[in-house]
Amino acid sequence: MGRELASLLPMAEAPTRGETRHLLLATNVALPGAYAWLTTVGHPALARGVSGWPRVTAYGALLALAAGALLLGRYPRVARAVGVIGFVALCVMTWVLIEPRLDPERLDPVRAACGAVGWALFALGWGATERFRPIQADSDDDGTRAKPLAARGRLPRSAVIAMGLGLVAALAPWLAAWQVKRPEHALFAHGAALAAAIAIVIVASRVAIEREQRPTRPAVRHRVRPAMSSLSALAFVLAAGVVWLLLR
Amino acid sequence: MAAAQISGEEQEVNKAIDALCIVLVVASGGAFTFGVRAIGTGDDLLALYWLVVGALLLRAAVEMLRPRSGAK
Repeated sequence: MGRELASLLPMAEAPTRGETRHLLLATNVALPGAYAWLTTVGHPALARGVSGWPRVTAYGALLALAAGALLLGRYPRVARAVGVIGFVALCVMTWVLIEPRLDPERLDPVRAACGAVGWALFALGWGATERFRPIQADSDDDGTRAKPLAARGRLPRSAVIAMGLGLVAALAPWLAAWQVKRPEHALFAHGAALAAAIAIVIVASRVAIEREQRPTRPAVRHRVRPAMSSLSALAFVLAAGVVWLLLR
Repeated sequence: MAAAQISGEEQEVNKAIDALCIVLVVASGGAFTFGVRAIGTGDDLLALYWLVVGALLLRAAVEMLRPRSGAK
């Protein structure tokens, strides 16, 4: 184990070493994986009326996850194969075997959202282990990986606030889509919400960053005039909406 | 270079326009939310209305943020 440990990259920013580091890594992949398993695999597979095979594959997935976490320090490649590929394959097998229970009409939106978050954290947890991979040929001469490029500057607090507001605004239609009950409409709602969320995030990032990057502020008229067509159309549509509301 | 020499008052207006851009982005989120909820209730015309409003709000925000080079 000592040789394997020596081949792992030193984690300069973390004070932890040896077994403690491995425990942290194992926890980092095991906890999100267990959460994803519990919300999206364990719950439907262990419900009443489910036959034996889905339970076998579900427990197998859990075992693969545990094995991957335990082997991470000693055999990183084997751990990745078992903990990622094995775990995901067994989860997919479970879902295939209990397919009728995964009908969209039966899915609980909250649990589905929690499961999505769990799988995202699972992926991030395994991604974090990449820092501990054995030293590759593209490393620097002294055996360490090249230092990341330093940022040229820091974004001001107003940019962070603008981006935060944009993210909240993008989250709102996405959450509203989960409230749609009818399957056909729900699919369309999710598509529209996703497109809206992407557009909002893109514009919010521009608002947050580009206004700080301008070397000179353009004259006000140069900013308002180009937007007049959109603002006029917006005013017209809003006025039409008010008239429509009054006439309805 | 009109952009290089702007008064302090105009700078304040510029800041207000930046704030308006953020307000427009947040408002577009609200409009899209109403649109998605209208999809859920089956009110297609209302859904289309709110989605168009959201798109126009976003477009206005982008155009105010990044003026076209040919703008006079």
